[in-house]
Amino acid sequence: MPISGYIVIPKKGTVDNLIAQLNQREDVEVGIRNQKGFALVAATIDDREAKAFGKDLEQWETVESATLVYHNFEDTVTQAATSV
Amino acid sequence: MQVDRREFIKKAALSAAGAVLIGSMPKSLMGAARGEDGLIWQKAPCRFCGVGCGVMVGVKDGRVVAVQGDLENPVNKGLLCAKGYHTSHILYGEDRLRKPQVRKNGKLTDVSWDEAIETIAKFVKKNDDTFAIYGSGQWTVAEGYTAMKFLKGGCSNNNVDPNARLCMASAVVGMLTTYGVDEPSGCYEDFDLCDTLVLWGNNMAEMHPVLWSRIVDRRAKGEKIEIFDLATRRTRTTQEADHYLEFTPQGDLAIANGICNILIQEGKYDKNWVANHCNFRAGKDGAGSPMTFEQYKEWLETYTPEYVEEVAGISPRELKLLASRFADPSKKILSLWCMGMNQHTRGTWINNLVYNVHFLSGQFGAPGKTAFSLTGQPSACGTCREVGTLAHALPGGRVVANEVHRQQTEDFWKLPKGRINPKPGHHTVAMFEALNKNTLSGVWVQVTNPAQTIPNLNEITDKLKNRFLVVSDVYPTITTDLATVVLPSALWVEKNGIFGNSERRTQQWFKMIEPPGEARDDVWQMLAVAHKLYEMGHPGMINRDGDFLFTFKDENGQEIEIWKWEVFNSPDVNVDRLLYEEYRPFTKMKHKDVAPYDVLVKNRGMLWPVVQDAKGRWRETKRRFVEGEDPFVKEGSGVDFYWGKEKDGKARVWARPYEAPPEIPDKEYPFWLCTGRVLEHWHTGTMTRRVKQLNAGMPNAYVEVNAKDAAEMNISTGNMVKISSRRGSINLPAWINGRGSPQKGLVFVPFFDESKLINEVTLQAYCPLSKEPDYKKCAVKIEKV
Repeated sequence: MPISGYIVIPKKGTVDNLIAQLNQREDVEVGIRNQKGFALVAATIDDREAKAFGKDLEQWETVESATLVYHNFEDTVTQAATSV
Repeated sequence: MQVDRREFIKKAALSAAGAVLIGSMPKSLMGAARGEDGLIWQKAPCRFCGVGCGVMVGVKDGRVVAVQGDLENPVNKGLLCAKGYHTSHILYGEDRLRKPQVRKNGKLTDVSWDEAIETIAKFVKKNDDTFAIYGSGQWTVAEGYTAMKFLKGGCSNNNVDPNARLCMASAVVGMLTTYGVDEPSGCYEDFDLCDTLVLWGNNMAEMHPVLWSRIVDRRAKGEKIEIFDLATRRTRTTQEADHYLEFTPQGDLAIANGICNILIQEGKYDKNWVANHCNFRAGKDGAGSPMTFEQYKEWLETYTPEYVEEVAGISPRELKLLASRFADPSKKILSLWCMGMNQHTRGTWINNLVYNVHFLSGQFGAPGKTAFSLTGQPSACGTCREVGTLAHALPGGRVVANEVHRQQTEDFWKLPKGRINPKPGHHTVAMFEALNKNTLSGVWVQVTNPAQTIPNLNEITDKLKNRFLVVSDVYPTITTDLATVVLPSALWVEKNGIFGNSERRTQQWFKMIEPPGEARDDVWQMLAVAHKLYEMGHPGMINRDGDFLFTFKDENGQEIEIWKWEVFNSPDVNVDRLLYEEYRPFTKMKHKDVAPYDVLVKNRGMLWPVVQDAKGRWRETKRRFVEGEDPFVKEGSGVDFYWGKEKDGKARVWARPYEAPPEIPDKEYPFWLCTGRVLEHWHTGTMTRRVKQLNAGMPNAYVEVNAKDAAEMNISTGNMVKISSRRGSINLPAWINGRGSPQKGLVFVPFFDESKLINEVTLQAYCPLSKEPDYKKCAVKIEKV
């Protein structure tokens, strides 16, 4: 299960709602925030899902930008090895 | 244990994201990502051609150190051509222009920006009605828009025209006269979906190599695609073609009519499509007069296979073979063209005629079925055609001759009523003729090199030196050699920018590095002159509210002093965004709605029209005029040409005749001359000739001679050959059976080499409708020297 870290810049005046909305999801965790935005981590099932999550997030109406700054593939590799 | 480990990784991810966040990202890095290599990677479109490939640009320590194809960009999916892979090198030529210069006592002398700006402003103030701006399809959207507002809105002068006049104007007028609005219906996805490709005088393998790879790679995957190469010379494109149909220059007009004649005579045209979507029109001009289908059918009867063979040189068998594909409704046919059809004394007509072929066969408005004009320059569409940086035009498909359009534009720009001049300015060739005659007193050239590219150069070059010539460029060129003022410009990722490519894709990028020396953005240069004029009391630089023409205010209502370089260049100000958002409402006027700037930031470009769906998501349009894809199409119409001239949702099928070119080979000048580009070089080579790898691949111009002609004249590869026309001559080394091989009686010369100016030989003749010159055919003689 890949883990991705994002910097999310919300649209003006939407940060609280956006964070509340994200906190309802089990697969994400909101981290540190400042006046520009906040850090976010997402745990997804596979890389395709990870990519889709990032793309989807960027399209949210309240999101100005979502920049991927960290991505961990290690679990995917481990899982594949285990299944063999 | 697994949970702990996952939590650990999550904390690591949050820390990494938090560290970057707290590191206070400057605006210019939004959307950027730091790679493991320590480079900051950001998206941009390639600087060169109209394909609009996405590149990822790697920056370290303020310098572009790497470029790679952008896997996320749907245009090129990670692939780049030789020029694209070397894009970053164009930034670092040793002789980049770094200081403004003004000619003093005959010599270009370094001056301050203040002096350069004041010199220009003083001249424009005195000569605002006889000053011109000559721009480019390499202008960003904001650059073109600024030039338009400056001259048309500020100086009541419509003498703005771009070098796109030399490459795309025939396609523009072709579309306007066919379906009432510029730019193609289809998109690059059609390249993946067609099963038959017809190239109308288009050497894609060298001119649009990434799109060419996209097509030929399909064969590697086991897909079948049949390629027809209609051309006057064999090229690298021919090597991949199934059928090479070699035609006599200008014969394309007869070929297109010949196909239509066969389709109708054999009853194999798409009757429903024609009945539902076509009107018929006769005439040589842009308006024409209505005709019936029966009249059109009768008119076409001249174009028998035998007549086509007589004027176009292709056999009846070849013509019928091509027509048989259009007669087969199971086919999905894509026609592509570029300069071969556009640089043509009947460029508009041949554009009309290729649409005729697709309309009669119903090969239009469905995936894989379309007629698609490829663009030469990276923003010929986005800037010249959408912003409308043309002598007769205004942004948003408005024209200066229309009073309502002028008023709309005056309202958008907050101009006093009547500010915009109703008289169209000079198109490119006329502009240089007017400079020659001194009816235009000066010109500001940005992002182009006319002293190398205007046809029949001998007529203009010397006179330009006597005019007030301002040149904004990145390297010395033969145009800067003639200049009164030279302004060093920021290039590509040294500035913010937006380009619009061939398939209606608008792509944005951020400034990533500082320009060298004192080089500055072209937008800023024009804003600075505009403000200097404002300070001097020029009435045109004041809007109807009494404010500066380019007034932008911040969130607190304070004016942003964008004419000051330190403000313009501040990371907190994005002038590109301000200008683009001011321009964007214009695009809604002809259903060319471009996406908001902030949406472009998040995407690898979007195909306009871009509209919001019910959920507020921005949605692009792959195929215009097609129900289910284009949001402006009337329900139930299937295909709706909603800007059709007859206002009935139909396009026009034109009866345009074959017409011989104005100059044809004769006893004295027995050869055709065709000019063009090569894979390694971009236009006049000012950037690519400074890239060692590209220049080594193609260091000098040459003349391709047909092998039989060469044998008859005892010419071998490497022999010097003199090429002469009624206008001038040059000497070039011959290349026989090289990269290209022209038909017997034709020679080909590329135009990138500034030491061998083939445009001293070419003809000053152009399409009377589009005003685009014909660089593809004139009469020359060749002699071994």
